[in-house]
Amino acid sequence: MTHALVLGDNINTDLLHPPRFFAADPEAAAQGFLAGLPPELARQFSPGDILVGGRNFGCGSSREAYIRAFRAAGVACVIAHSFSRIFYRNIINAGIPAACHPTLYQQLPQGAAVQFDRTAWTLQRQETGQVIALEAPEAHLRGILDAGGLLAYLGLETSHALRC
Amino acid sequence: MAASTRLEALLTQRLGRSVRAGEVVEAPVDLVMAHDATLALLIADFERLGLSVWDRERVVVTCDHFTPPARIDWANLQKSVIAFTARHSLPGLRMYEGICHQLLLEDPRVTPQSLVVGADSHTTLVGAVGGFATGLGATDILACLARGRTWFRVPESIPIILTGTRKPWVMGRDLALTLLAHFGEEGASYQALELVDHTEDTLSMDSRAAICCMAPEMGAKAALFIPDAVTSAFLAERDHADPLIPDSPLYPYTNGESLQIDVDTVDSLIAQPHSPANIVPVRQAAGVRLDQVYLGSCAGGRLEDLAMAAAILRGRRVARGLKAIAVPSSVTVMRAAMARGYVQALLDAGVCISNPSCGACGGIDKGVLAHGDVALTTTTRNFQGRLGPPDSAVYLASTATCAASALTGYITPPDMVWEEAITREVDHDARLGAGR
Ligand code: SF4
Repeated sequence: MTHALVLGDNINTDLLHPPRFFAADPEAAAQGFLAGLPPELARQFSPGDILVGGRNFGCGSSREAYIRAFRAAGVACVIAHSFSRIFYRNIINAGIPAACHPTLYQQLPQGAAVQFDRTAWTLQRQETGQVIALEAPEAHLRGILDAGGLLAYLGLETSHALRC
Repeated sequence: MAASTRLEALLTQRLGRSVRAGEVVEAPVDLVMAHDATLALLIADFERLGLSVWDRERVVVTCDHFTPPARIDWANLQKSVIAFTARHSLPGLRMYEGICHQLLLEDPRVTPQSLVVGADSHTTLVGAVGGFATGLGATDILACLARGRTWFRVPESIPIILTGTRKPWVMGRDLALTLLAHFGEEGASYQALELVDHTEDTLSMDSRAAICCMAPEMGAKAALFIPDAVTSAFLAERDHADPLIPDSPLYPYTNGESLQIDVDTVDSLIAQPHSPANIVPVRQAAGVRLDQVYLGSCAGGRLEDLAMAAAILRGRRVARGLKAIAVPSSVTVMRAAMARGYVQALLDAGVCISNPSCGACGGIDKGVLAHGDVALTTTTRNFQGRLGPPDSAVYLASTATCAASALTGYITPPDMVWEEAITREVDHDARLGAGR
């Protein structure tokens, strides 16, 4: 079972991945995953978990070092009230699902056990059985996600195993 | 039906069909920019996929973020970027010449008709000359390098009309902070700011660049100034040729209300830690003790900024023990600042001049903060941990506010140190075209 790490509004890229961890090497970049957040909060994330945030999630830098860190950390999906535009493009280009929900970040208890369904675009809470409908990205972006990322979508890449 | 915003008009012309806000379009781009920190992220994939660059003449690669590199791993990254430009015979490599967006602003290929994408969020700065410029991540840029085109959702535009007369110490940066106070960190999300300059003295291109640069902090996809006489004069001087300015520069903006800003009512503002939209009048933050004052970045550090700093600091000394740093935004800017004596004035005042680059702005080069440091800067962002450890704090303000505060070592409204002589020097420089 995966868990949700619940964050607030305006979670910027310097909190998600501080600039001092900038690196092209995925292993080095992975060191900075959530390193700008309070350590006791960041420690609750395990591979395969999802991130839930509020307004303007991912505002700030365009540098995809954080995408490497997200991949290495095994972020299964990000759900937010709204996303900052470059972050939104980047995460979908990387093939990591991003969905919107206006109030999930205010309702969901920290660490709640959840199951994300990427075909139905729903989130199920284990404890209550409640199925929460999410707002999926528009068709064009779902196409990119279904292909496994932008490079595969454009036919620049044939395998789904992106390394970037 | 005619386009109702400048961006619709620009994309309509480019695609040869009527384009409306809200649709998703794929458009060819004129220039692709990537810098040492973002290009480094896509090289391995680009080479693994065996791709080639769609048009070598339309790629600008800057070495500005690690400049020169202070760490071996960053030197290695930069080396890979330089090698990439050699492998693909890219003539557009700009080594240590300045900040990527400033170099685009100085590039004759950037015109009011341009569509420019850059692997950096602050590419919006380039809209100061009137075109469409926006930032993308490394993967989008990788695809763009290979294909010369990318997709956009055509943004709705927010018209912003500026009127009135500025106080002599109020700079473009203060107007950017005014907009940030209005929009907050996401109030302009996915939209474009279209600014019309009807102010009495008109804003210089440097001030316009400072405003367009800060658009992403409001969530905006792009920002542009409707081309006017300032634009023509700037392009004529830059390109030594008669500029091509689009006709009927004013659009009716039928899609909604415009935002009117009377600059008479604007005084110096400051963004408090840890958000660029946490805005108060400088007066309200006055007295906060500073460890560092930093002038530079793509939101400051232009000729107009150095002229202002020199005018305030000339014949004076920065506060004892304060780390005062100025980083010109490009080599061209630095040369002009040297020719006009600004560099000398700043050195005499005790300011450390660093080489044209991003410097401490990105938190990955020289000038980063120590534990507990409080800094006042002209940089773009004051997110927690951007310029130093999480317990450091950054305030953002105009060059005038930063220079005034450097004198006292405390946050200081510029009018408190202002004298007639400063007004005279600033006016004189403006006539020389210091800020163009
Ligand atoms: S000066 Fe700062 S904001 Fe501008 S490109 Fe460099 S790091 Fe980014």
